[in-house]
This record gives sequence, structure tokens and C-alpha cells, in this order.
Amino acid sequence: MVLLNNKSNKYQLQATSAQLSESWFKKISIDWKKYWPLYMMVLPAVLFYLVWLYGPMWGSLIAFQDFSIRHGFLGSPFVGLENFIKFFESPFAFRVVRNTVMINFWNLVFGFTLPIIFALLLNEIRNRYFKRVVQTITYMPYFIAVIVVAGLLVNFTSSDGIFADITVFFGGAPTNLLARPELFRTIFVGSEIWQFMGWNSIIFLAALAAVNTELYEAAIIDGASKLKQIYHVTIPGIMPTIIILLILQVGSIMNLGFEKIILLYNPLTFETGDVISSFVFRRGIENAEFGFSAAVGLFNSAVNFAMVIIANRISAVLTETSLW
Amino acid sequence: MAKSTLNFKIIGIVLAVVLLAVVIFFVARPAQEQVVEDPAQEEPIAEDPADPAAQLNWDGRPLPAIGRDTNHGRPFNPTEKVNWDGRHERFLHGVNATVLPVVEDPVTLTLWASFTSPIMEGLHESYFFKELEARTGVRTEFVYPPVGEAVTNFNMRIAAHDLPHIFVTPPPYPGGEWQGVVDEIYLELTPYYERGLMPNFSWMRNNHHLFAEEIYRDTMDDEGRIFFWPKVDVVPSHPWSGLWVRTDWLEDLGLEMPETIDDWTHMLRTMRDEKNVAPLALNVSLWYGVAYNYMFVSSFEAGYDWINKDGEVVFGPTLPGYRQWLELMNKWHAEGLIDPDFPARDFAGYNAHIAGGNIGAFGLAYGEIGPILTAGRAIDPDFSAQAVVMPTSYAGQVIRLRQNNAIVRGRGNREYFTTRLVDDGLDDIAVVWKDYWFSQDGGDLASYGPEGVSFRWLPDGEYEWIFPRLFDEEEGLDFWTIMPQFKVHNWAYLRNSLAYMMTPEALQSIEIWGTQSADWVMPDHLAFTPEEEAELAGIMVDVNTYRDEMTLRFIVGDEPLGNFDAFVSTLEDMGLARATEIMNASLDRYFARGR
Repeated sequence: MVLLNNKSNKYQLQATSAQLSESWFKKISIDWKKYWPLYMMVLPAVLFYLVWLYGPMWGSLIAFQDFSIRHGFLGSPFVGLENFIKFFESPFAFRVVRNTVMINFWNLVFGFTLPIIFALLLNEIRNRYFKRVVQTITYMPYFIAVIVVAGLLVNFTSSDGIFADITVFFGGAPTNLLARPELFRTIFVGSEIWQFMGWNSIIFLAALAAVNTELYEAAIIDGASKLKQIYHVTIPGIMPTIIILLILQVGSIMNLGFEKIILLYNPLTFETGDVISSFVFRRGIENAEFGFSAAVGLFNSAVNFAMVIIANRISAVLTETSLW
Repeated sequence: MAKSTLNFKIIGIVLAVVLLAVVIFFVARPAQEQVVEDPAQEEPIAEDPADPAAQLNWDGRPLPAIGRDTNHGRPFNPTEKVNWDGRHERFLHGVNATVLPVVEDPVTLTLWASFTSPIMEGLHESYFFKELEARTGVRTEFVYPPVGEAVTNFNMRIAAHDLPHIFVTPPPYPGGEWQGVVDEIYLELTPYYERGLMPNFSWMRNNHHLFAEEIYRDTMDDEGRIFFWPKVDVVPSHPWSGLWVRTDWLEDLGLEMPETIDDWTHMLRTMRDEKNVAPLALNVSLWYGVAYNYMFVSSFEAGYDWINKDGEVVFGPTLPGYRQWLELMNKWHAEGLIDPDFPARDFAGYNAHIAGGNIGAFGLAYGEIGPILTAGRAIDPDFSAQAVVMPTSYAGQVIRLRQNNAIVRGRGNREYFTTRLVDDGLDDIAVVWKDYWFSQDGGDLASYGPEGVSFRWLPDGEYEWIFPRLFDEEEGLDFWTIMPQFKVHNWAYLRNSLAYMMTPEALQSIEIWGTQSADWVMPDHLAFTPEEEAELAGIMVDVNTYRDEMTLRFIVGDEPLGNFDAFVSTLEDMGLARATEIMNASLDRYFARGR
């Protein structure tokens, strides 16, 4: 929560910046002499970021080149925005971007709110033993590998699988659910929720534990019912956590790992299931188009970046809480 | 104290003297003189130039006389096939134009190959490579990419120029195979060929009694350049994938083998009614599906991909026959004759479903039938299947499309030399060594293994496997697992493609499917310029996605068949006309390759 930029600290910051502007070099050298062990401890982390996260950014250059492995960065010809244009000219570009955004949006709406609700419910449980058992069971699916989950899903959704049996029980006809494009998002988001709800609720539970109990007592004295307490005390109490996580989630709106998509989709569900990463994956095998893949990745990152900044601004204006 | 310093002094002086003596001994030792006999300076056997014995080998050694037991125990004969062990005529395919050993002083070649085996640590354990080394004097060392990471490893090696001497069946080179030569990774072989260092390969291209023309065309590119070593199936195994039917079900239901589309419809309906299952296991884009073996689509004279219709390249899905095929599939699917889970099944699921006993007819590769029969019989002891030819859709139709293997196998079965051979000065040796694999003896060694160790010739001219581990009942390993211990499979050599222990069903399937022609199948070895290649790939990646998607939608009924014309015009909007142009140009250049 040190990251928070609450308005109350603004004057303090202004004061220190006035001090610093005096002679920053002198300030830094005094600071260093006094606190050099702390700087030493931070140094590996800073180096890590520089070398492994900032350094490889240089590789984005590939997106603007007709990259050939043999010639490397310096030998491949520069082609400007050609790779980006190639992506947008593809007849499937719109569909692919739309699918990515839609699946992520549904993931956000359901996959983000459900852990919060789940944490709120768990918080109300008095029996500690029961609470722990439920928690453990719900976050176990997190540890199952994607390929196993996909294998289970393919099995359950086949025309002789569990879902088909249930449908038959209620009088319907058994069909293969993965062959229906309209169900792809539901199945995908559903499996994401099943796998990650327990794990994602942990951080909310931690935030809930930090809400001041005196506020609850004050609310009870004022005559608030359970629901009113949750609405007026609990949720505002964990609002900073929710906002931060929401902004971070929005910042990956264009990223959707292709592993699960590839395992679940088939040509019948390309209409709703083909996302940017799987589209580029297929294209990549065709001709090892490194420039193309890098361009699409850069496009993704640019959009994500813009989304994070917008989300941060909106949240700063609306709720006085923001990442920076 | 004085005493001890004196001792140290003496020890130090003695050590120094000893060291000095050692240094002088090793450094100043006179170099051994090597007496090199220059063979060219021996009295020249200047006789009749047509007499091979008068000529010299590529390294200056005199050629041995022609005949038996004259070439280190192997028959040397560069001009005709020789039957020296009583084998049947149909096992003779090449000459023996290599003088053994290839080198007097041993050299080592480094080979990059993807290889894993549950019973061997590496290929150096193989009896084949041991015998090859004994015969040729060339030692082979292997480097293996991590399992599943062949593409990454390959790309890394190209980028870092960290090359082995030979790449064995590498992944596709980014930009096309010829780009590898341009980038100075792959070594072009044409100069060595023209210098006469590949006599076996040359004989095969020019003199094979059945397939010389095809081999000639398929081993070079449009400009006549040779730059890869191909896998040449001189004993052809043309089709390896096609349609199968459960013969025990046919017996139960009193049906005959289906020959026409109507027969099939009737058979599938009967199976559905009597056995209460969806009897046809359909696969569209996996390697034993429509995309590879044209099942049913060839009955309507269309194809899933490019076809060579009487010399002109056409994209199958644009033909009216494709619409008829879609209508048939749609009808069958609506009637419940096709497995409803077919879009979502992968290899393992597909095979398991067939073995499970709920399928009456399926498309399959013959290599898979063995394990499926075993698994199927565990559940239903009567499980038996037989291959069946493609059905006809009208009387008198000639089927022209089925899965086919060219004699010179496709791009995934090539070996490439690298420029490191030139750097290490081993290029001539490597070329002659690899050319040995295309001689009669070299090809035999690679196809069957060392004689007397893995196989032997029988008095009646046939051969039989004798490798003891093949018959070990306790271990119970199958042929394909043990095979790398004594022979090679997907390497570049003169290959007898039937030199395996195959189930009788598999051998029968080759015969049955082989009765239909494959005239319209596209040749495997078309060549494109890098620009054409890039353009074609760019168009086809979208076309293929759209076709895959729409085909399934038509079959399943999500898309009404009335929209077929819209489908074709969308394909054309994606640039299909230009792609067809490129393909036709390439095919014309392909057939223009000649001698």
C-alpha cells in the first residue's frame, strides 16, 4: 500500500521536492554514504529489471524488420509498418481482436467479481475448520496443469460425456459442446473461474482481515444488517485492493495465452475461439514469421499500456485511488 | 635452521633440473617423418581409358577390379547391378560404385538428428552405424536436440552458426530450403556431383529401370541444382493411408465390401441400425483424414487442397465436386452415420475410439492398424479390419486421387550438408561417404541392417529377420521400437520401404489401395523462388483457415449448403487466383526439368 498516492500526502511530497532541488548531487552522495547497505540490497533487483526486462525491449525492433534468423537484428532489412499492415489486412484480424477482447471482458466480469463475492462469503463463516477445508479445496485446481484441465474438458463436453448425460437427463439431445461456437466463451471462462477462483480470493481474504473491527462495531450500533455492513464497511474497506487488481487485470486485456485456447478450439469454433495469440501461432508455424509475430505482440503491448493508463486515470478521478 | 634451508635448496635444484629435462625432451624431440607415397607418382597404369581399373579413385587410389570380393569384401561394380548373394531380382536397385574404405585415416562427422528411444542411449549404439564405420572408416558422432525442441534448437544453431556437419531431417528452414544455401548454412552438392564424387546417386538418377525420370526430377530444383540428400523408396510403398472397414461387422450383417457411394450409404445405415452406433469415424485435417487420403472427396473428383488435374493445378474446394462431397457428408452427419465428436478428436482419441469397438469404418494409416487391432481384440476378440478402395460415385468412374508417396520422399525426409564440412576440409569425404548410402550395399545396410546380425538371405531369394530381440517374448517389444538398433528409418538412403515387420493387414492395404491411380496428386518436390514462397504462404495461411472452418460448418450443418458459392467467392477474394498462378508456374517448371 506504499504505492498508493493519496492526496493527503501531496503537501509532504512538495516539501521534500523543494529540499531536493537545492543540489541533488550533494543530496544523493550524502544519502548514499548513510544508506549504502540498503542500496546494495536493491541493486540485484534493479539489475534484474534492467537486464531482463528493459534490455530485451530492444528486441521490439524485430517488429519493424523483415527478420531473418541468419542475419539477426543488424542484418535484416527495415520495413517500417509493413508487418502491422499485414496483420490488419488479414480477413480475420477484426474477428481475432474481437474474440480476444470479448473473452477477456467476460473473464473480467465473472472471473474478477466471483472471487470477491467468494471471499466475502468465506469471511462470514465462523467455523474455522470448515473455512480452512473449503479454502483448501477451492484453491487446489490452481495447481492442475492447463493440459490436464483441457483434457478433462474435452472429455466432459464430448457427446458421451458428463454434460451430455445431464442434458439427456433433462430431456435434451446429446451434442459435442466444443463444436458449438456460441458455447466456447462460456466453457473457456467457466473453466478459468473453476481453476482460479479459490486462488484469486486469497488476496481479498487478506484485505478483508485488515478491515478495522471498530468500524463493524460502529455499524452494528447504528443498526446495520449484515448486508448493510458488507455494503458500507467491508467493500469500501477493500476497495483499494479491488481497484489495484482491476487496473492490473485491465492492463492485460489484449493478452490471452494461447495454450488453453489451442487445446480447446477446433475449426468449428474459430468464429469465437480464435484469438490473437492462436492466430499468430498458426501463422508462425507456416513460415516462421518472426517479424509478424513481434509486430502483433508490440500492438498488444501498446494497447494494454494505453488501457492501463486510461484505467488509472479514471480510477484516480472517480475513487481517489490509483496506481500512480 | 641452516640445515633445513640447505635441504630445500637441494630439492628445489633437483626439481628444476628434472622439469627442464622434461621440457627439452618433449619440445626438442625430432618430428616424425611421414613417408607419403604419392600414388600419382607410381608407374601409371596407362591402359584403355574405358577400363575402370585404369582410372583412379577421387582420392588418387587405384580402382579395384570389377567383380566379387575385390573391394574389402564387398563387390565393386559401378556399371551394373550384381546379385552376389542369391537374392531375388526385386531386391536389386543400385550399383556398387564406392571404393571402400572411404578414408584410410579415420575422420569423424557430426550428425544432428532428433532421436529418442526407450531402449537405446543414442544412435552410436546402433549396429548399423558400427558396421558403416567398419566399412567406410568414417566415424559418426551425434548431437541431439532436446526432445520436442527441434525447431528451437535448429533456429538457434542457424543464428549462432553453430553447425554440425550434417542435418538429418531438420525442420523447415525459415524462408525455404534454398535460402539455407544462400545463407551459407547448407552446402550445395552440385559441384561434387559434377566432379563425379556421387557415382551411385548419379547412376540411380539416370539408370533406374522404372523410376529414373521421376527420381531425376525430384532430386534437384528447377535450375538443376542438387542441395539435399533425399529418402528414395526404390521399393515403392505408394499409399500408406486410406479407408478401412470392420470385416467382422460386414460378416455379421451380411454385407459385401462397398464399392460405390450408395453401397457405403447402405452399409453405414445398416451398421447404425443394427449396432446402434455412429459407424463412420471421420477425420478431416489430421494425417489419416480427408486432407491426406482424399477419402470420399476423390469420389467426386475434387480434393481438400491443391490437385493436379490433368497438368493444371486447381484448388480442390473450388470445384463443384467439393460441393457434392459436402452434401454427402452433411447428409450422413444428419442421419447420425458420422461420429458426432469428430471435430474435437485428436490422434490418440481417434485411435482409442476405433479400438473401443463403436466404429465400423474409418480412415487410417497402415502403421496404426497394428496397435489398434491389438487393442481392439482385447475388447472384442472378433475385431478385424480390411482396407477398401475409394468408392465411385457413378458407373465407369476412374478414381485418380488417393494418398500417395512419391519415390523420392518429401521435404521432411531430407538430409542436408552444412558449410562446416568445407571449413573442416571434410566435404569430399562426406559426399563420397553419403553416396555410399545410395549404393546397393549401402542401401541394403540401411534398409535391413548388417547381414547376419539383423537379417539373412534365404535360399529362395527372400530374406528374414533374425535379430534376437525381435523374438523375445518376455520383453514383448514391437518391431518399431527395436528397429533403431539395427537399421535406419527416416534417413536419406536407397530404401526398401517394405523392409519392416508389418501386419498382414498393412501389406494387404498397400496392395488394395494401390489398385487405384494417383495421377492427380500434386508432386512433392515443387520449387518456388523466395518471393513466390512468401507470397504463397501469406495467401494460403488465410485460405486454409477459412477452408478448414467452412468445411466443418457445412458438414455439421451450421452453414446451409446454399452458401457454397459465397464460400468459393470468398476464397477467391483472398487471393486464390494469384496462388493458383504461382502453383501452375511452379508445376510447369517442375515438368520442364529434364535430362
